[in-house]
Amino acid sequence: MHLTPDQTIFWQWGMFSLNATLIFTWLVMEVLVVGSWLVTRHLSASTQISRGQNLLEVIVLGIRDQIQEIIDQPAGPYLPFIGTLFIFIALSNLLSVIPGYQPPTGSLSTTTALALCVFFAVPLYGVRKKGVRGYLQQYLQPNPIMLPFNIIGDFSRIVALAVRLFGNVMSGTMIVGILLSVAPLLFPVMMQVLGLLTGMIQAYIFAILAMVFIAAASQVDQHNPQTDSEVFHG
Amino acid sequence: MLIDPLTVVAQIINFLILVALLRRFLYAPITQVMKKRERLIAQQLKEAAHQQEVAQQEAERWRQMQQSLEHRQASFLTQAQAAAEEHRHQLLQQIRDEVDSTQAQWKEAVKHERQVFLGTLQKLAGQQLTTTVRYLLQDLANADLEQQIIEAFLTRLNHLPASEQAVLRVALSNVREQKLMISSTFPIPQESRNRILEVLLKQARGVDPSAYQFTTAPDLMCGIELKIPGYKLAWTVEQYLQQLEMKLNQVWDGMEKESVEQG
Repeated sequence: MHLTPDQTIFWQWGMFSLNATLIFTWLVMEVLVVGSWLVTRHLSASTQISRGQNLLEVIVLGIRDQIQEIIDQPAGPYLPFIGTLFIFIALSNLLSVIPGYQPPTGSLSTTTALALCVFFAVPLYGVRKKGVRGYLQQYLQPNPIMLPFNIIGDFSRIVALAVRLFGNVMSGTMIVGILLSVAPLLFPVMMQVLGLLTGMIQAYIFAILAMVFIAAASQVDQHNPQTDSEVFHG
Repeated sequence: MLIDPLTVVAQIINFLILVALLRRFLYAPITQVMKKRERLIAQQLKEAAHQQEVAQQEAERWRQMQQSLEHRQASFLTQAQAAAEEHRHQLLQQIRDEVDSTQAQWKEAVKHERQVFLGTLQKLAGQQLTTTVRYLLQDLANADLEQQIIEAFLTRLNHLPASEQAVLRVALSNVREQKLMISSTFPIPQESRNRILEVLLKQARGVDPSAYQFTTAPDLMCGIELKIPGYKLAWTVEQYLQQLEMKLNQVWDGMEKESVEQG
């Protein structure tokens, strides 16, 4: 039994290998993009809308409201990044009900990649909001002695993000695998249901933590909501 | 090793591509359509508020029209009532006038009938009275009625009051070429005519005796009558019957008053 889908290799050419993580990631991406494209082809601004549009609006609106609750400012600039994190992780975890499917989030490579994205997104949003100087100054807060600790804190939370998601998803898959060999009836089903719940919670936690980190880096005394909105839509 | 660097890089690229694709196919369209819907709803709310305002104005206009209509209706009703009342008064007055006219005609007819009746009564009573008196005189006093009438006329002529004698003289003195008419119901014998002329000539000496003319008047009710312009002297039964008629009129007037009071 493989601990991570990275070890399930379908095709290899030299050092490049096409493993299950990439395959299932593309599957999830395809489901998301094609599904969104199919629904958003025929959007209606009236009060009579399709079920698919209704579902997407609920999801987008829910994510936007969550972001606004955390950062207390318009969610426009953060919505694509945070929303994609949540939707990708959530769908990756939800699809684990399909037999044979291995969630990409069960791969430490994927979670690390996502954590690295957050790692780079934090300074990008921070610099965009506060400028390079303003962003770098926060590493010297409350005093320059704290600089190494702030840097270590940044790295450690990236590792924590990656390992938390990987551990939870991988453990769920592992538990189901173990229980299948021990008690093949009922227990795996219950654990699968529990896995769906924990998968959603992990997606939510990952996205929320990423938002919190970005918000902490982007926090300014005064902000201009109109500017934020224009930046996103412009 | 749990972390494959190539897979990490590929996943980062995958994720960034996914972010770009979802931004293109999900977040931007959905956000835009939601904003568009918000604007649409806001516009609809604004239009609804405008329409509500228009509806309120229209309702207010209708309310005012209704009040105006009610006022006009009340005015028309008042005018109609006044017109009806006036018409009723006119009709009542017309009916009263008609009743009064009918009553007057009826009274006139009654009066006429009464007069006709009284005339007839007077005539019949005069004839009957004359006949009765004639028989009474004949039976009791062996006297002739006509002779007694002549005597009564002469007596009255001889015993005229002084004032009346003066009036008679003045009237006789004014007679020149006209005839002096002495009418009677019956033919007066020549002897009686001479007696009458003798008395009259005493009253007016300048009058020619041929000026006096004796005639018989059947319509005169049993008596003799002297007619001179400005003077009249007569003895007839009619005088007595006129008293009877006056009494009867008094009785009838009293009966009419009683019937009117009883309604």
